[in-house]
Amino acid sequence: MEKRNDILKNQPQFPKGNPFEVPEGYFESLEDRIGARIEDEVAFKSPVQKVIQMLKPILGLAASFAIAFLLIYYPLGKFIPKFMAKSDTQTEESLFELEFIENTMFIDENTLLQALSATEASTEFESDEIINLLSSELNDYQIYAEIIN
Amino acid sequence: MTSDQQIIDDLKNESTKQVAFRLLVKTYKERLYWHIRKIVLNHDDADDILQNTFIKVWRNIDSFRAESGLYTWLYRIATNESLTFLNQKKKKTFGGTDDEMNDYLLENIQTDPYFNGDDIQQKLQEAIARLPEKQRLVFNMRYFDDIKYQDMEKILETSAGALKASYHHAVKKIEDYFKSIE
Repeated sequence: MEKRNDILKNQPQFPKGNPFEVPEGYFESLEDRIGARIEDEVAFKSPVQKVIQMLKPILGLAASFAIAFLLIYYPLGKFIPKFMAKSDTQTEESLFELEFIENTMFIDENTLLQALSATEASTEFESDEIINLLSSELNDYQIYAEIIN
Repeated sequence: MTSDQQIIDDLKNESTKQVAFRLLVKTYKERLYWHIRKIVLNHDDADDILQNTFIKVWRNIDSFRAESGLYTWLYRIATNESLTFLNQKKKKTFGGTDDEMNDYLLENIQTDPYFNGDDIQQKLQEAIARLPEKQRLVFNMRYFDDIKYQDMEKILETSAGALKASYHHAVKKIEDYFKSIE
């Protein structure tokens, strides 16, 4: 330990001068050479870099929103799943309504009524019933009368 | 004389950035060059690494945190660039072996056209070149550049205790080398 402290306190007796040299004028021209490289870098900034620089604030904002959404939405789903399930169902229902309105927007009332009654009627038929009716050689009017009664 | 803080402020301002950068290069070019040169022991390599160091500073000045100090930040970049260069050379040229890398550094000293030291200085440089990487760095920074352990801690991201131990081992090995060639 003593020996170690001696070495650290007292400088070892090795030559301390700098034995290395540089080519003449090296340091004088260094600033210009580095300056030229920097100017190239500024002048020839790639288009991708320019686009990234332009989009940086927008991307930053989008990322902040995404993080905020995750930080709020995810814990809500985790800690109050019932609330989230309810809101999910509500969302599905409202989506169905929206889709229905979109599909029926340009249909007149009569066509819509016919389409709805056709759907309802078709659900009332049993396949055996249809086969019996078709094989009984009745005309259209008679078949209709049978169904109604 | 402009302070480091003034240089940093001007570097972060687009209108004064280029002038401030020239001032930064002027202020630190020699200190960083000699630091790099003692690691790679070759002028051309040191020149490339020094330029890359300053280019990196230019590109990353916005991410510089003032609390680390400009001087220690520059030294850290220069050290990392130099070590990366040596590690790449070791992998590509010598298949990753330390012995061949040490031989390469010794050869650099012996064939360097810009070496102007006497016989003892050459022997000292050879002894330093034989040291493990960390001890070599610590010895050069402490013995030749008089860098405080406190600053070295930030540059090399190593505790002062470990740095002192590295320096102690380095001095011991150099002394042993001199004894062995007497």
